[in-house]
Amino acid sequence: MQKGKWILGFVLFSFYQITYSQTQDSVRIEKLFTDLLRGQADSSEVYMEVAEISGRLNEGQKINWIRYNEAKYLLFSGHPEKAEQIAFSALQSFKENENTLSSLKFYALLASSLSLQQQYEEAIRYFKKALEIAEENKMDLQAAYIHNNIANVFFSLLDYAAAHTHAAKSVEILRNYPDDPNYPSILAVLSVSEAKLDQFEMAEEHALQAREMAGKSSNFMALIIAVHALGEVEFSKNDFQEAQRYYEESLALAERFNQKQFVLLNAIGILTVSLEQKNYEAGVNFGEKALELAAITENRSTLYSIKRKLAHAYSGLGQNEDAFRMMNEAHEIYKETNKSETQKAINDLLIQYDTEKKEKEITRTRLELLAKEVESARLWNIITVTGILFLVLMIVFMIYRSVMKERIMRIESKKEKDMFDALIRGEERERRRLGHELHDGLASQLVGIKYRLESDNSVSPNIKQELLNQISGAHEETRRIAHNLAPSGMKELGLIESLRRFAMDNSTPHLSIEFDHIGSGTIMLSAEKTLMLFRIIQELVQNAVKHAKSDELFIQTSLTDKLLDIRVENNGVGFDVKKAKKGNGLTSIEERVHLLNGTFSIDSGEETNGAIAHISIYLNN
Amino acid sequence: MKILVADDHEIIASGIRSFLTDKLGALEVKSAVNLAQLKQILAKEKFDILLQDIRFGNDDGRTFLSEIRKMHPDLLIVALSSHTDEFTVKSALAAGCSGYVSKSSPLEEILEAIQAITKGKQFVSKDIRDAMLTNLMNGESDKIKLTKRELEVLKAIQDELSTREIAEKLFLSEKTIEGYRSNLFLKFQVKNVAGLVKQAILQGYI
Repeated sequence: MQKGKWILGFVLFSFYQITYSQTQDSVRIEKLFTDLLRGQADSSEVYMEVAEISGRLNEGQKINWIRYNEAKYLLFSGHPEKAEQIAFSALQSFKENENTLSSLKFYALLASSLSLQQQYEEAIRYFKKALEIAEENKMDLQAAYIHNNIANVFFSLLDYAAAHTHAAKSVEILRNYPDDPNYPSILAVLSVSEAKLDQFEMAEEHALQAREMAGKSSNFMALIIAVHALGEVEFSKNDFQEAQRYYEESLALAERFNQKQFVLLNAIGILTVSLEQKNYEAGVNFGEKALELAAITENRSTLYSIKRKLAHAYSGLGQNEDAFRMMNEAHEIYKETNKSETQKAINDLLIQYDTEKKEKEITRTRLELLAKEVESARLWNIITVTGILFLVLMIVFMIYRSVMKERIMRIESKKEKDMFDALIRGEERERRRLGHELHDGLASQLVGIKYRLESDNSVSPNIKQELLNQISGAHEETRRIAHNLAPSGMKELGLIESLRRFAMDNSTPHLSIEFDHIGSGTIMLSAEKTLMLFRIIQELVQNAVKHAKSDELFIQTSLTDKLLDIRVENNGVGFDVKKAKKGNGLTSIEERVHLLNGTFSIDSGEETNGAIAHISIYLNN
Repeated sequence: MKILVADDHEIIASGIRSFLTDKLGALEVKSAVNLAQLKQILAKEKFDILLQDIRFGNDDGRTFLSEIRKMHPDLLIVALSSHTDEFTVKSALAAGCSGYVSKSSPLEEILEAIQAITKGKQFVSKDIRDAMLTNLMNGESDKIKLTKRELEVLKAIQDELSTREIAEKLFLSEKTIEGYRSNLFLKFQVKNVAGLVKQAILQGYI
């Protein structure tokens, strides 16, 4: 079930009323904002009357009556961030005299507005604060409602086990209040969570019970949810036909009572079951309906998942153009949500590409100009050959030409070097970006999952251990890859220690990489060159493992005076050095070693095992 | 006891938060997701323990921890990181952490760390301790490490083969063999073939 769906469906309905001393003013304020929300009043008139009442009220009353109802109005009319601000500042103003009852309702309001902004973890935190106050003051009903709200937030987090815990607590309390109007709806929510956890019998029992109670008390809202819950139960049981029947019933009810969010919820349900049954026509019909409703709510993740499913349905009908359009739109939403990072990377590459192109252009024009100059100089010389200064000029010309030639060559080779440099730098940047992304994104996500699993007691110890081992393995692997892409601490550790770490990190029971360094003294190489050298060695090791299939590698470095020697020896399949030289990455390695003012050679006999790569670099500074 | 968890990933911070609340019962755990928030919270409230992610968003924990320690001398800090190398661990401890817990370790280790440091001890994750110990033991061995090929060259030299003969035998170029020979001289700290053979026999390589 996709994110965002539940938040639309449930979180709002058990927004309860706390009874505090009701006066004519407080009742009036509430009515004004309720009318405004229903579109039965004009906002400027409402605010004018509120301002008038406000003159008669003290600070506490203003906050409790006006600000609270205003925030509630804002919350329901699609401005949760404004509601959040009001709730937050109200709570701060309470700090000194701790008005617990007021705190409770503002905490709940704050939590609801946060969950509407999809800040679920924070929402749960504040709901729990509200819960604490409710429990301290023995306000059973409020506690039950808050539990139910927490359950709804957990639905949004797709944490059905936690949702079930809270829904069950809520129902447990409400058993003492069988006449509470919210009882059947909350029971239906519990049923949905049970369906998600595959507790079919309980789920069905509760859903049926909820439907019966809702029917008796003509609680249409509860009836809609209960029937929807029955749909969820059948869906979990993979009885798609039955599920569809219930979704349709719930949808019809929702339409009758003009409950748009439930029409949407059920339309999504029918879309999903239609796809499961390959009934693409119904899928398209209900998908379009859902899309229309979802567009109003502007909930991106809901829109995204509807569009993806619709695309699926269209392609099932063979309407590929529509399918493609939907997929594209879904992709757009996805991109908007995950925008900046990728876009930035693309921009960087474009800029780099442009600069390189420009540099190449400039160098070429310069070369042409130089050639022209040479040409004109020659012409001028020919004219003056007949003169007395023939010999002198000839000598001058010769010198001039040789200087020019050298200059052209220098420019030519610098151009090559610059382009090569730019290429390496671009690649380095991309690796670093990828490495950091893996480390900060995936690796941290895995730690988060691991932590969550570790404190989850609902999983049997054996399975838990197995899962933890697998997650740890994945985490280690991610970290290893990230570190190979973006080696950290290279500057502080220097080449030797970085290589030692590289050898250690990449050794496995099936691959032994040994590292040894002989000699003392520091290797004077700039950070950039150190990294370049490290990359070359990394590549030699990768080649040995990938192409030569070696499982035993030695990396040896030695430093004598100013000569740095690096040997990478492997035990893999040997090859004919003369033939291999041109085809593979060896040429690129050789070029890079030359950039470092070093020499590179590789030796391998056809019949011997393995190969030895040798890099020698003279450190002049 | 009041604990502050500083990690830029909410999913990690909340995992630790709920674990600690669950295990230690009556205690207050809060979290911060960036440096500004961390400083703000510390300025407002007093905490007993700070669990600090070393790579904290764009900030490096090691760069600001000494400042925080100066302002809150009673605050005990446990570093929390997925980096397990000696350099990072040492520099984190030098920056004022009393404990260092690897993110690959089980959550229980955070409890162990808290128990240890509140008793005035230091704590480092078990897998880091083990790795450091292995490192220490490897470093101590004075035995010269030879590659397979070096050993082959060494044996051929002892058999009095010339450079060309060795090259032919091993299907390698003479230049490579010369390289090996000078490397062997370096490793055994000798100047000529006679010295090499002598040392190799003395140290039990032949």
